[in-house]
Amino acid sequence: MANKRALVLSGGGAKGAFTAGVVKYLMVELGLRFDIVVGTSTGALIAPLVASQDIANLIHFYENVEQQDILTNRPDLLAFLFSDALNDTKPLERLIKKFFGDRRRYERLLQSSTEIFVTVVNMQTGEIGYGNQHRDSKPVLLKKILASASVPVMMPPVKIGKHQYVDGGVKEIAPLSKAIDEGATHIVSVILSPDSEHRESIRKEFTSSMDILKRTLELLTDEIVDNDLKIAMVYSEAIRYFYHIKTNAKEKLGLPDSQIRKLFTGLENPFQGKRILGITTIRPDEELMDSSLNFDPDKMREMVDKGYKKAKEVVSQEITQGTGFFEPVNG
Amino acid sequence: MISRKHLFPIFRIVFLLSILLFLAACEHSPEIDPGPLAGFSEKVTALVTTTVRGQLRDNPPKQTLLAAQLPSFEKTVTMNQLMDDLKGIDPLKNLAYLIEADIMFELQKPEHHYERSNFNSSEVQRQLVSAILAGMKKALAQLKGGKDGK
Repeated sequence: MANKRALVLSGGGAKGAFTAGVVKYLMVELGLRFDIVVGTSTGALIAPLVASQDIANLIHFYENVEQQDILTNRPDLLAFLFSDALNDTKPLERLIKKFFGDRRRYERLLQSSTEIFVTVVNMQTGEIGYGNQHRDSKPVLLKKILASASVPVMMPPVKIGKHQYVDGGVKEIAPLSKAIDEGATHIVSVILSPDSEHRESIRKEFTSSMDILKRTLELLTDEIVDNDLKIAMVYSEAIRYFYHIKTNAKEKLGLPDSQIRKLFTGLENPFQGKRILGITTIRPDEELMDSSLNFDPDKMREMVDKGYKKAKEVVSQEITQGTGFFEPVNG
Repeated sequence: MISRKHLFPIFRIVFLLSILLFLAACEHSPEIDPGPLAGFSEKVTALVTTTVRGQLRDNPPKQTLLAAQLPSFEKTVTMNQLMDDLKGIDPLKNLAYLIEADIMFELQKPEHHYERSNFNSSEVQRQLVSAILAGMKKALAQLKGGKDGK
């Protein structure tokens, strides 16, 4: 079975500029190609451009986009009481059509050997779903990309058929489990917040309910990301552990393959067909910005450069450790 | 019945209102920016801008060095000549290799078949030199926070 390399892109709004820098390093400088790209929210906007190798447009988008290109404000109180969101996403919808709906660009996406999956959450069933260029029609995929980027309450849900869909980040910010399900053997995961060791505690006292709500959402978001990563890591370690047990049984106890297989018959193997997984995580060392909806071109250019630098640092560490994950693949 | 005399001011109001409505509609549907880049040169410029900016960020001496070399780079005719000149300046040598990687990445795509097939022609070479120089200038402007950086 051939190796399958996946790129998992987490949500984070404007912080997606960091991902653009990471992708530029991995694909343009290192020449890496991916078999699968799974993206949530801002990652869902990046995934089709990665699959079509349109890195120039990816960085052009994240270096120049401004808030009015994404959403327009609705009057706060009226919107809160009488509509489905505080903002309107018509500009983002137009932008998605312009970047991905163009016939030639969409054709490239269909012909690409990279499979994309964009995560969405169904508001009615509560289930997580995925948009894919081969399983969905063009209008549905474009809607799912928009839905994946639609942060609930801030942006309206997207109606597809009878159901409403929102940002996949509600349930899965870093969708590593989808990459595992699709048979990935090496996952490069880009996460747009620092790990728990690098998170700064907040010294101020929270006095307003809005501040408390904002902080609570931040904590919940961090928890979802941590769990997404933890589940993938545990999964990967478990497969590795079983592999070592089988190897020891063969080499140290001298058991033949047939007897080793017998040990596992009758048991439901949750790792059937799955292989040892390598996970490389690229994430910033500090918070990139306070609000993920702050589309400031200067800050976003800085984030692109930070992403590039961080990716280079992580890859060179892995090359030194000899993980073998970053040997160039001709694509 | 309304007379013609009374109808005229009503038409005038309706006409003015429709112009106002049209202007209001224009204001609420601004031209989308950024639109996607389509051409080879634009894409090369975008990649080079990011590369130069990323490499020279937090390094004002290198920024000054590159800015000082720009007038002489403007005189180069081919991409190779420009890259050789850049490689000749030791602190900027690595930048030249990265720019070459940007161009090769863009050039290998099926949609740039024309540029690939006519790579050595003066037309494509001129296009490449000016795209690279545009990227360098844009990056330097962005690092300075100037208006040209947009």
